Amino acid sequence: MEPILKTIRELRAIQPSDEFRTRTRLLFTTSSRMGIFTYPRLSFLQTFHVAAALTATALLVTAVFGGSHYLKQAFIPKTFVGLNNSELLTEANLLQNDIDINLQEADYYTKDSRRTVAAALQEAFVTSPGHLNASVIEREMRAFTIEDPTNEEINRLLEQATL
Amino acid sequence: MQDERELIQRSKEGEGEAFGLLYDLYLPKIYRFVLFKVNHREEAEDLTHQTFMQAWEKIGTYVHGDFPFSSWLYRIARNLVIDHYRKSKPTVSIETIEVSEERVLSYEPSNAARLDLEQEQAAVFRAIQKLTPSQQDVIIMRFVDELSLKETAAAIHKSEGAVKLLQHRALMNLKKLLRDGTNS
Repeated sequence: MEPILKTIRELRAIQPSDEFRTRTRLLFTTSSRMGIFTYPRLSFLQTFHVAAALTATALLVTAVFGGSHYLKQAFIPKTFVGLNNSELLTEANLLQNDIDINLQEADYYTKDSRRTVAAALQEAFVTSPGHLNASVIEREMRAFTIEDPTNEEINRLLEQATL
Repeated sequence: MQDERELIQRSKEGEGEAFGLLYDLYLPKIYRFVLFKVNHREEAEDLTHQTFMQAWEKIGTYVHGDFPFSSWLYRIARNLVIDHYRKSKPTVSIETIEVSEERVLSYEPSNAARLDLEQEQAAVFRAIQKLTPSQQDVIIMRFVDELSLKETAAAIHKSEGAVKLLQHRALMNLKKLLRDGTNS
């Protein structure tokens, strides 16, 4: 057993490299533990400054939120008129009345226009158009009728053509 | 021992140089312990570094009367090794172990006798790695780093009687492993 123990002890020769030893050691020797891992101790003056900064921050937050709340209260009434039920009903009734009146007027004008058109048509069918002069029409009809033998102008032109 | 207490106290007060002296004292032991456990030089350096960083960070919580400072350091290292194996499932082949042994035992042999000794060391190193984790702990702490029974027991959370038993079994297994290795 003793030779084995002796060999095991020989393994103590295994050592970390100098580069590793130096590199890691520097981390401890060049820094203060307080500076790295613990919170720094504050002096009275530093404590006062921190407290003052915190107070100022709290006041700023209060001013911002309080101000916005005040502005809301000032410009927006607590109860909206539009949200009052009775007011809403009154406004709705007024609107409905206006709509009804307009509908009645539209209905009236529709009926009136129908009556006017019907009257005009009736007049057109029953009586001949008054603006047309019967004698003028008759004369024109006679002038443009080819079979009319009394059309001397045509006769004259035919004779000239045959001679 | 008085000096160690003083260094611990000064380290607690944040004096980096004092902790540097503790580091010089315990670095080889902790490094060897971790190296035996992980069998990889870079990983051993990384875990050793983490061990001392944690110790530096938490030295304010260390109470000297509870157990020795060395045991406290070994506990940190042991927990980091356990975490290391939990996080990364190692797949170590025999070839890898042999290559690692070459890297681990890479110090220069000065003569032929030393070369023979290195071969024996490699055999013992291989045999220690085949022991159970607790048996490895005891062999490394008791015989490589020469911790006392009390220090070893405190480091591995066991009684001194349990350490004696583990030590006995570890040596028996080691003897058997070396004998089998020689025969094969």
